[in-house]
Amino acid sequence: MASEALKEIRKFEAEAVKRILEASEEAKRIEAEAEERAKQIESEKIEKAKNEAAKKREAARKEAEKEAEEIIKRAEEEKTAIRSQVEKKLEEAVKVVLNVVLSGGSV
Amino acid sequence: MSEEVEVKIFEETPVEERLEKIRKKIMKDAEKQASEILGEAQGRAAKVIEEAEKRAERRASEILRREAEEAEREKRKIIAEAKLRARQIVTASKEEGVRRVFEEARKRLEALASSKEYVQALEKMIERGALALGGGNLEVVLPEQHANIDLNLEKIAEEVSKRLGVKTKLEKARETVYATGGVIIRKSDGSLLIDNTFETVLEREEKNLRTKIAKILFT
Repeated sequence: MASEALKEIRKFEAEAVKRILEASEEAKRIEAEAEERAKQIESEKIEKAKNEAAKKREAARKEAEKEAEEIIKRAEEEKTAIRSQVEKKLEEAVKVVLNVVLSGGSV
Repeated sequence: MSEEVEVKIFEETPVEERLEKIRKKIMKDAEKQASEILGEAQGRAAKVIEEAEKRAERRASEILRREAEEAEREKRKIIAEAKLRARQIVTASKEEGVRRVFEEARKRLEALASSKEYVQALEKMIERGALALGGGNLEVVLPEQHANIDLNLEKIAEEVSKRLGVKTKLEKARETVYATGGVIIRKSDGSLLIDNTFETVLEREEKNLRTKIAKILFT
């Protein structure tokens, strides 16, 4: 009778070990899933940051190009003004050169 | 209930019931252990995710900071290049203005050198040169195309002698000079010389003239 009982107890113990092993396997799966999820989180956040940075950089570049266009535009306007000024003052400047040359120098 | 009583009751319980009790106890313990294993695994998993989130946040911040710096550098470069280009545009247009003045002056000097008024201008240049050299025996070297111009050198010499109180004589030199106009005046002994040909004066005075022209044109 005692032997039968002992057998039964061994059976129960085996069942218990099986349950614990199942839990260990489940634990491994949970941790592996977490590792995968962690990689995914990192990858997603970094990708998001890269996209955001690229957008900001593009916006900054466009802003700078706009400013650069304005700078060149102002320079072109100044060039036009200079040409106009040269037209107005050409005669006066040429006379100065002629006077210097005909008088043999010494500005 | 005392332990003795418990043992007595257990011994009096049928075997099947006793085994069932043992089974329940073993399974309860196993369940507890399994639950602990799972709990610990879930705790570790949560920590892994939490750390990954923190790490990702740090890396994302670093990417944003680095890219922001790069964007700022790029922006400054674009603007600096534009400013440089703008300065070049303005400088080139000013230079063009100055060059135009010189070109126009050269054209007029060329025109003057073949006009009737030139003789008078040339005589004035000779007189100034002779005065600057302090009079004496002087020679005038003319461009080839002006070698036969009729100049009143005696009158000029007289004027110079009078103004300086030094007897002055002016003669045309045999050789000529390659120039559009103007004259070289020199002491007959070759000790002193003034080169007032148009090209030489323009070259000699270019720096000063540029300053003066720029002042007239751009202020």
